[in-house]
Amino acid sequence: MTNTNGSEPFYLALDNELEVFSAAYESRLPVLLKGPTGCGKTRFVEHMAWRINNQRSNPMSAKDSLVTISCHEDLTATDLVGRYLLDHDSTFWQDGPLTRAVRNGAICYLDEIVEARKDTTVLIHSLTDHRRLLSIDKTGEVLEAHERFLLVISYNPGYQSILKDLKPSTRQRFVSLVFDYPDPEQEAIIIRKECGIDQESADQLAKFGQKVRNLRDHGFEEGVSTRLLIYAGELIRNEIPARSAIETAVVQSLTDDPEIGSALRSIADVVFP
Amino acid sequence: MTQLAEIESRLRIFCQGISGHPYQIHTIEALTEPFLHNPNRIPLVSTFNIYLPQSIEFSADDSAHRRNYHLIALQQMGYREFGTYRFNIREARQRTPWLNAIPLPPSHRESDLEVFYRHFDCPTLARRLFHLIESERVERLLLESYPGARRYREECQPHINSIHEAKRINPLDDELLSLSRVLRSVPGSDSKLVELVQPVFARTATILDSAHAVIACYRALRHLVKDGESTSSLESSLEDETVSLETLQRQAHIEEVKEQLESVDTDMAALSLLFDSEEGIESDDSNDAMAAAVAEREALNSKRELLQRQLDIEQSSVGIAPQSGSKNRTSFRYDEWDFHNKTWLRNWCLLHEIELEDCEQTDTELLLNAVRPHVRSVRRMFEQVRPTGMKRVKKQFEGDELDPTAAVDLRIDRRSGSSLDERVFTRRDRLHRDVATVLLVDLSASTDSPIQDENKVSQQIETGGTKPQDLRDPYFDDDYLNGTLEFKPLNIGDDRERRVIDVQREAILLLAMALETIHDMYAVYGFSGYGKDNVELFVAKDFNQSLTERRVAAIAAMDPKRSTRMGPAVRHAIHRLASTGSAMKVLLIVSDGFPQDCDYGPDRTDHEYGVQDTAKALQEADQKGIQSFCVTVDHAGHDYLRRMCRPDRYLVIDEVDSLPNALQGVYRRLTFR
Repeated sequence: MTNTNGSEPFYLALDNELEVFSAAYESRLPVLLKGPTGCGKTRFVEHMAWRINNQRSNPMSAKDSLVTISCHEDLTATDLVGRYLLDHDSTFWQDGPLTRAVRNGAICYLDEIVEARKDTTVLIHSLTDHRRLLSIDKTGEVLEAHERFLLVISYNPGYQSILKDLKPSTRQRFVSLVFDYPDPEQEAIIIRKECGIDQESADQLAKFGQKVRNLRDHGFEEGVSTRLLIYAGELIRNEIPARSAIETAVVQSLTDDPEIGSALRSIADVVFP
Repeated sequence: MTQLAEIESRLRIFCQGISGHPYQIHTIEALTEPFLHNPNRIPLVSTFNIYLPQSIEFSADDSAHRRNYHLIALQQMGYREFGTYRFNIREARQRTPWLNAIPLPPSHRESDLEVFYRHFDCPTLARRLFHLIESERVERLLLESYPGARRYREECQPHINSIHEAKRINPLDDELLSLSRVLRSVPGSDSKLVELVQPVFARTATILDSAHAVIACYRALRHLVKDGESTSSLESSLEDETVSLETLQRQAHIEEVKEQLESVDTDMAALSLLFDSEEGIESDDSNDAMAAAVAEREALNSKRELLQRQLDIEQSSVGIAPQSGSKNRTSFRYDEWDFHNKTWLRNWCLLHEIELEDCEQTDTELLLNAVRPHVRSVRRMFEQVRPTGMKRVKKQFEGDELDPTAAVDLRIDRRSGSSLDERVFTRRDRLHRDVATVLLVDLSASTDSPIQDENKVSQQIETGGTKPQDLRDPYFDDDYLNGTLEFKPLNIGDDRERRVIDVQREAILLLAMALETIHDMYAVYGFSGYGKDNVELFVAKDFNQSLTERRVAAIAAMDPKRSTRMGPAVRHAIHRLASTGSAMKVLLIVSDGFPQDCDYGPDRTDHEYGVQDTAKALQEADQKGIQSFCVTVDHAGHDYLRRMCRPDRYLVIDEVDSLPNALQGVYRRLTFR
């Protein structure tokens, strides 16, 4: 999902990640983002793509400047590169999203890369070193990456099994930026900015999020994401009472276990007035 | 009336959420029992404890009682959150001239709070005042931080009013009751001490403000204390306190020391990495760096020793048995099923995961010699069933190649106006097994026993014969494969008696080698321990490790240890298996007797408790899609295994030497379908 309205996607820097990413882009160093679900990795890439694109004299459209691909276990190299499709009486070649990004000079963001099949990681190797080439077997084309092209991948070391770890040969082709959930003060700023609620409600939501993350070993390894807290904030802004908003946006999304659900409600009960 | 047991598990989760620590919930009665000298009744298994009333009844509404339980739990966690346990007598003396003017009382293993009380002529009064004032400070901060809890507090106000009815006892108790009434917001109350306590009401108040208020109030009331007169009533009023802050402070202190120990261990581990990387490098710079590192290591070592000693002293003071330290130790808590009371004991067992390393006594070569003659045949047997290569899957919506036949069919269907099947791609899928297995080996002391019938077996070896196959066992009648392995007991040339553990190790290593052949993921764990807080799980090989020489040495280092608390070991194996994400998960338990431990049940002879807890753990495995199987060399195994697991999920082996065959047979049956 890319930002298409052309406005700057909001991102609150938690450390020096903006500077590091910009520096990496200057040298076209591929970037690996590590962090739990919903902590802002995708938003960070959107923000950086927007910034980099808008600093140019001839910016692309926001839509074209970033190609985001959500990887899944059935995603193959073919899905990324492209394939022949059937026409009425013939076949024709259709570029995949990665090929499009390499050709047009977009930032290509492969989200949760370890979920994809192994052949995809081999495919990106030649794009991540000095060659910056994409080899398309089916057409015989060897595509040299556009000078604006950058590859960004993300993965979540938290919930992925040890079988799905990134190989060192892939890891060592990227500079790595580590993300985690913001601390309550920063998270409150993000929530407030994203959903426009008052400071007190934002503080309480952030505090609730912090408490829920204390329960990571109770079946939800990652705790609650900032994204879900923002959803709850949106509901509160639309005049849904805080406890109902928490129930709908957080408790029911996180667990089906009655005991854990009840404990989460009790936590919300004492955190919100 | 609401019983604590009804909401205990929810409260436990609530407390962990609020504080970030796993808490244990106990009844207040546990604190008042003489637990210190009765190790079987020690409730202080961890430093994060909450003590709550067995039951609460002050209203007709049970939900109000449940909320009140949450409020009391919050208040106790509040002492930790708002710094009560961080009270430091030296700091208090530095910042309080009145205290500093008094010589520091001698103390012997007392908490800082107790030393503080001993600055006063009447420590009981000081303690009483401190409890009153500090609980008020904490409650105010708590309600500020958790505004929703105000409703809980208001809800129980009528009850508080009723237990704070004004009565005349003696001048000192009257003053204390008046102060308590004011602090607890009882209507119509007043106390001349309120002015002195006022600084505690500020948002920024700290434990030192409470200490100062105690001193002020004490000085105001000192004249009312007549030696030997009022102290008894003060003592009796202290018994009403829900929880002893002094005990909790000691527990919190233990936690602090533990954290410092962990930090020292981390520093030491970082230093050892430096030593490893500098090894073999000769230069002036590296020599200087090494000298500095050696000095730092020595300093860390002495710091560690000091902290460990401090920890042992503190733990022995509150009744926690000291444990042998180990650098490669990670701890986990697991519930236990109390079969007699039909209830779960939450966070009951502390399991320590310890990485096994070879030691000087380990004879890896002996183990390798024992299994070497069989490796080739075992591997061949498993290779026969290994799936290989890639498979092209047709009729896919997406794929890397067009399927011409499907494409032609699509054209035909389109022209004829039939419904279209658009699955015109083919895709290459790799054939692979997605199996994760834990081999869980009982390392109880009994595995040190020599194998019976040893003479007979030795005789067979001498005459060149092999041990006959046990044909009564259905798992050996395995026509899935051509022929079974004939396992010959070895250790030829070794004069030592062959023990159960020797055969267990050989069987595990052979199976491990077989699993390497078929690329199945597996881990080898041994388990033992003594007592619920010292369940030990030894990692000989983990899922992400290869079967290197070091791992073989670790398997060879699996030695008989202590007891067999099987429930937590099984639960830990479940936890580990679940994290692999494999489609098929297998738990293979190799044991030589029933589950038992010194406190596994009301008394040591109660075998049923352990059997039932293990049965519950195996049920949990089933629920999580893990196929478990118990193999035992205990002849009496049928008696308890039939109560522990399903009839098709256990195997009793009559001849210990047939264990390697049995394990392989079981494994193939479970995973090759």
